Amino acid sequence: MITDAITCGLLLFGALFTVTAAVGVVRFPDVFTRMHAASKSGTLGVISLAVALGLHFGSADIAIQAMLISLFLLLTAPIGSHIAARAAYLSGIRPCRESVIDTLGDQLDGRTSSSPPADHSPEGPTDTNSEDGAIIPSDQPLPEKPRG
Amino acid sequence: MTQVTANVVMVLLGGAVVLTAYRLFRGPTFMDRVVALDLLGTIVAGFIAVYAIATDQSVYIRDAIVLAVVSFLGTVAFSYYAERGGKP
Repeated sequence: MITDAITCGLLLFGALFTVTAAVGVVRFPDVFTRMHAASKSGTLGVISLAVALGLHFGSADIAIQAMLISLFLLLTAPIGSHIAARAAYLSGIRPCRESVIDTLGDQLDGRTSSSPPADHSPEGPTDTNSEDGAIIPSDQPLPEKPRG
Repeated sequence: MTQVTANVVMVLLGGAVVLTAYRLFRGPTFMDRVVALDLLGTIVAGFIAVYAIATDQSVYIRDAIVLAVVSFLGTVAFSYYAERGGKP
């Protein structure tokens, strides 16, 4: 009886988080924030459903397989979202206008500070002066610009 | 009680699948579709788990495991394809 109650609670919890992930994927403005919703919230929801499955059957065999699902999701969700975010950035997709930090873009541009991806002047004749005063000599080869 | 809850949760997860499929068909960029497909695989793995509870058949767990694996491999393959700029 108490196991049934815990199973029902975990099922509803998991469904809530999974629906939240789906709503976030529909409503968020760009691919990076959508990925943020999908990977974290969706993983928590489905892990909760898998734990409910292991509790419902109550045998060690099924519980181990449910834990295998949870472990696999915990391993693959960060890796997959990291790879997808990097591929999205390198294939030319930029964060939305409301974003305030772009660390990967700064690394690709050779800067060490983090500043908004506002004014990239790729072929400037003189030294590029970023917002916080870091001077980048113009004779350094610029990194390969990602395809637009 | 568990069966009723499992049926309700299956309806909710169906709504989540519909929302994610909207992003999969609509998504403005290719990576939006990849992210939506990844989430869709994860949601369907959870749906299979709930279906195993609703029907009291424990054999469906293997389907959920296999679907999680294949969904991850698909995400990695599509991301590699997009990072190479559409060239294999």
